[in-house]
Amino acid sequence: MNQLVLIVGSGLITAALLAVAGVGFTLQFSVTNVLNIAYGSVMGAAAFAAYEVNKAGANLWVSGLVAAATGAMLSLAMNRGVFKPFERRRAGVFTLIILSLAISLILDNVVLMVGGPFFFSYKQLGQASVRIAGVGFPPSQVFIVGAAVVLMFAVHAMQKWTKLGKAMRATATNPELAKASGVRTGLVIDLAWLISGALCGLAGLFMGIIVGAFNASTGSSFLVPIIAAVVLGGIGESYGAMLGALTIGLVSEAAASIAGVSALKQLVAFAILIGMLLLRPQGIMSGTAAQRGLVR
Amino acid sequence: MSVATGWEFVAITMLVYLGVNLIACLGLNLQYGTAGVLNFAFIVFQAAGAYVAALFAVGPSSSSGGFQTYVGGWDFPFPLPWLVATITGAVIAVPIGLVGLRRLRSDYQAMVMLVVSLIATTVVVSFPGFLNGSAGIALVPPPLGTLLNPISVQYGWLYVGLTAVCCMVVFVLVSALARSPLGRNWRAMRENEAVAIAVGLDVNRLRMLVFVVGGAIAALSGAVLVDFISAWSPDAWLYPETFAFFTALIVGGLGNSMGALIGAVLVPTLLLEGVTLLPTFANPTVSLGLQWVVIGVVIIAFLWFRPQGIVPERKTVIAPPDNTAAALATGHKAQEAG
Amino acid sequence: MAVTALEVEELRRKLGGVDAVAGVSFSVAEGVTAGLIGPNGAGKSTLVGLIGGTQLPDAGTVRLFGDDISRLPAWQRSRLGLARTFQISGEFARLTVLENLMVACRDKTGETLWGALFRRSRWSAIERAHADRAWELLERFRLEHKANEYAGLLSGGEKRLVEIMRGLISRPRLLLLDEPLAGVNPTLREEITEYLWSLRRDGLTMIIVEHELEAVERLCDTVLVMANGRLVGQGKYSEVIEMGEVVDAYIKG
Repeated sequence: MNQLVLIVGSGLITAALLAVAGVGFTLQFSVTNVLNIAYGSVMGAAAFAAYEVNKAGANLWVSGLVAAATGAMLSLAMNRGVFKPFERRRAGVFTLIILSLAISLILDNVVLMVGGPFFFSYKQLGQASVRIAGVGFPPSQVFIVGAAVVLMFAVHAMQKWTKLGKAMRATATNPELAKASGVRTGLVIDLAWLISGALCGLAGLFMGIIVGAFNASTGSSFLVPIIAAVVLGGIGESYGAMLGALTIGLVSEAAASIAGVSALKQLVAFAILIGMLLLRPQGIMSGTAAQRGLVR
Repeated sequence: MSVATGWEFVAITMLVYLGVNLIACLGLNLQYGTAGVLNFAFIVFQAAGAYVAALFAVGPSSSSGGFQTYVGGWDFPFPLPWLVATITGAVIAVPIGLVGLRRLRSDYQAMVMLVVSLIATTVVVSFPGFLNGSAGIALVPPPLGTLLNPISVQYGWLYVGLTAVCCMVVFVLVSALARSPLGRNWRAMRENEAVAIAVGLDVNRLRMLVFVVGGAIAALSGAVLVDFISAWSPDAWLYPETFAFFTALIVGGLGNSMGALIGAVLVPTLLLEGVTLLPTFANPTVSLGLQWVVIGVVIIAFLWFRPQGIVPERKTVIAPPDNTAAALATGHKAQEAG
Repeated sequence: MAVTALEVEELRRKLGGVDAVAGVSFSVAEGVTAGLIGPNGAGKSTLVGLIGGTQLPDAGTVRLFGDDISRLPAWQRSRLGLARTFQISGEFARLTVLENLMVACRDKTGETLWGALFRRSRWSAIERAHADRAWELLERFRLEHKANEYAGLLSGGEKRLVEIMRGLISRPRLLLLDEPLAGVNPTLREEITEYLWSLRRDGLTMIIVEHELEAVERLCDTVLVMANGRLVGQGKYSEVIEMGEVVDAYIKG
């Protein structure tokens, strides 16, 4: 029983991280049609910024704010400074992904140059374990699950009930039509990058908490499970990302725990990803993938 | 492999690296420049070639103290390891191609292949019994090490010669293919796949073929490199390395061998390897990080200012049959087609 | 007895839950030029796709000179002698006009890996023959001055001509033309119609999808009318022009 609680608990914690990250990633794709490989690097940079603030004495809440702000600013700058100008020049999607890779390299290595080849850890995470059903979890990680639930609900609320949400969906489906109908697509896109960037930054903070010690390239290494979650659920669909995150989080923890090999965690995510790509690359919720012609 | 004097060491090292990078760039150029096939897992092929060449020359683990664990380990004479490595590159292109060459949108496919590359690294690192994990395989004996003293200057130049021979073979191969009807089919597939299918091209076969040939070439480059540096570990083939080769092609110019040469000189050789041979300033991490930042900036700059690269693809001009040439020469002007 | 070039039987294809092509049957004899007309959304493009191979039918058969090609991929149909052009001109932009044409010529030697590398002398001769034939076509269509020009730099009308030439160079048994006159200025329209007329006179079997009724009247021996996924009429131009659907689609509105 204890093992089950441990598996489910750890699975939920991983799922929380992947969900927050995945929803941000998929939002960027949905609104601007860009597969942003630099997403992991932004997570890493935000995690590092939070670390610096945390090192200087700030508590986790302030660090979280810094992480969110860093993520938001970097993401907005990336879209405004690089993707948008190239898109205006009618650059193809392949060019855009190469650009995102370039940005990823630049970000990762700037963090490396500034922070050094060391591992960073947050302080003041709270010592007393939270006991749930007889198993102890670090309070910061329980907090992450809670925060993720709140954030997912907020995203859901925004998409369903706010004008912005409707505007985002309209822009995602048909930007010209949206513009012609009076939607301020430029503003909508900026906001989408700010919001997804904030999610990305928070995911970076969560990542730093969960792995305990991270370095300049940890963010990029999380790209694979994030992509796995997003592809599994269906790229461009935020509920898909949540579903994918939950699946990958739980399945990988269960597999690793049952087999007793912790390396299995990552490999299970990979296996799921490869399997999806071979069998059903458009994912479970395939609406956006089909619309964008991702699978021919 | 160390040699007597300073400048010769630098020259030999730079030339071998240039050769290796040129071979790799020519292979990637065939895939991406000529056929328009995206292979963001390119470095995995070079790595496979390097590992196989190492395994076929290093002998069983016990012979070197038993502190490395890997599968196989034989002691075959040169050039057998290189040949097996090249074939391996061709062989693994098939399953990787099946995963990656499903008909996906180009950037989605790029992302898929990138993931394949990351997975390969993780698999090797997570299963240390396979290829000695993150420590990698070391103590690979130099080829023809019994003929000449491997630490002599002469051996160094011999190795440069071997590398040059491989370069020439690959160059001739790639040029011949590019000029052939097969090459034209690849370019047509690159330009407009739907029309290519309509005029009778089996694009699935064409894609897999270029993947296999390019994979073999990449693997050869790995074999040449590993025998020079005598060791190979996951650090040498992280996913950004593929990106460095793409940058080389974008800078040098796609679709032509001269562009590949210029790109190979400027990017992986000068920018990455050359910088490590200079006296490093202050902090080695800073110079390492700076290299990649420069690569990132260079590629963004080139894509903005000169996407066709330094040497754009050359047009294939075909002469008219003799009577038509005469007619054209006498000033027969066709009406301006409207 | 006349040979049947194309035979379509009970062809069916659903798209998005609707019958885009709902049981179409007809045949075209060798040497005949058939026109295919009908309002937008009638299913003409789907039918062309089913014949050309870019779409596979849910039911029914397509036979080319007796061979069942219903489920063959487009590239195999091309090699069996079916050539087609596209509604939106497709060309290989960074290949020269000559290369655009030569891609449509098959060469068993030069197109394989082994042959490309080791049988140079054999395929160079074949290449020369293909190049000569391409030049011939260019002269016939009066575009020889653009032979070594990148196809992407040509004008819209020139690209159309290149497409038609590319369909012809492989000496097809059946040429499927998808709106060859769409969006083309009147002078060029006249030219292209002339070329198609000469092809018809030479005995080439053609199926032409067109909205330009003048051209259809001039070129086609028989006209097929489609509406709502079905074949609603077939016959000489003068007969079908009186049909209700044709009047609705083309004369009114």
